[in-house]
Amino acid sequence: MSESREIQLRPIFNSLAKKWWIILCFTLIIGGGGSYYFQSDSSSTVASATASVLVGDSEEPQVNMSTMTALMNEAAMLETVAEELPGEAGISELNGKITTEEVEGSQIIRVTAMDETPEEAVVLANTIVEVYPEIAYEITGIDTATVLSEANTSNAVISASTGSNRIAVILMIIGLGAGVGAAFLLDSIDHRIRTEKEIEQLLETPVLGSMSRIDKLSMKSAPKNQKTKLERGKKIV
Amino acid sequence: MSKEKYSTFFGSNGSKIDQDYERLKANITFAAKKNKAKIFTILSPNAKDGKTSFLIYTALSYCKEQKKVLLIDGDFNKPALHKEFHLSNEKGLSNYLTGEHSLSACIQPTAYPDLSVITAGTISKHLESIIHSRHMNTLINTLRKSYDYVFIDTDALKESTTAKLLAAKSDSSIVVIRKKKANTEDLTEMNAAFKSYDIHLTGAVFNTRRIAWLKR
Repeated sequence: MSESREIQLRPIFNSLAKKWWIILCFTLIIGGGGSYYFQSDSSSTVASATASVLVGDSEEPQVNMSTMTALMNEAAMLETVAEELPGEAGISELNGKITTEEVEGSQIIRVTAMDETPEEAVVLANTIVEVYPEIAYEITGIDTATVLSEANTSNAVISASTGSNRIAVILMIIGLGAGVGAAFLLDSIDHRIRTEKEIEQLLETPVLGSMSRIDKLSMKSAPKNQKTKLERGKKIV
Repeated sequence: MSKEKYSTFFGSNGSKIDQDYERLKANITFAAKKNKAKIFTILSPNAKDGKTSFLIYTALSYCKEQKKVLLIDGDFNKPALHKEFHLSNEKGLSNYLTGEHSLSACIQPTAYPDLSVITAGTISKHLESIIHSRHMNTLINTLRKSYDYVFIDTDALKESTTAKLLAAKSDSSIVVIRKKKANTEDLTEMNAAFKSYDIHLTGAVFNTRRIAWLKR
């Protein structure tokens, strides 16, 4: 059992080991190049900052928290925000950067802004919560909305964008697979002699020896070695 | 430049190459004694496999122990041996075989006391019939008496029949295989040729030396 297994696996691993550089190249090119290509589309890291708004009770009109939350993402709201922001930003772009959530069972609306740098995220989150009370009053007539907490850079969270990371891993695995495939293919095409064993099998003759590269290093006589040997001997004696 | 390399090799002792050739020499000597062989042909499937340098280094390494060695250039297409020793190629093996010159006129001495050389000569056509001539047999018989070892250089086995004929005429042959150049087809082809020409094989030498990129 073990013998038959050895016969099957040895040549496979040998051919893979012989072509290790092809596997490495494929993995690096497909994995590295691919993930670089995908990362250049979206920034590699994402910073997020959170600010919140408290909507107090009011007699007239009644406060509906769902409406108040939905208002955050409305075009009217975002237009004002875009005007306030230093850079030029489109409404749909802003919409993608903002997540709003109504804290369950309370009157707090939490706004999370995501941007490339923590500073930008903080500015965005703060602009939204600052603009919100006015807009809310204009549209719904509720004047009880107040800024509860502002975002600042110290609690902005920087996280690597998980999406592109996963792509890199997947591409690496694809690259590894393609590399292994290419190595097998090349090895089956390649019939060049590499080992003395192959010569012995094919020519049915023993290998007398091998010639090494002729250069200064291999041509050098070896008095150095002999010297060290003698010194060692002396020390022991 | 090449001459310099050979003289440093001749003078060196215990270098890496020296060790390689000592091992090779020991194996060749052993096989030679066992088969009572003196005349070896050096063969290789392709050109530039390192035949000539193997030939010269082996000869020099035999000369180190005062063995009388003769090198013969059997590569009539691209004779190279005379260039390595800076000799003239006017009187050579082919000239002797056609009867133009006597054997003693063809054997040239070298800078190394125990090493002599017969160059390829000026004729490079219709050599198959010449090698079959009685001159070749007398040559081999005379050389066997006066030298300890004779090594014959040849051209690529794939392209020439002269190489095969020389190998068949000599006592035994040694194959030089260059790593990552010769392929399995070359070797199986060679093996078939050895069988059909009845060539005795002492063994193979594995040349692991890479060829320089420019010379490829």
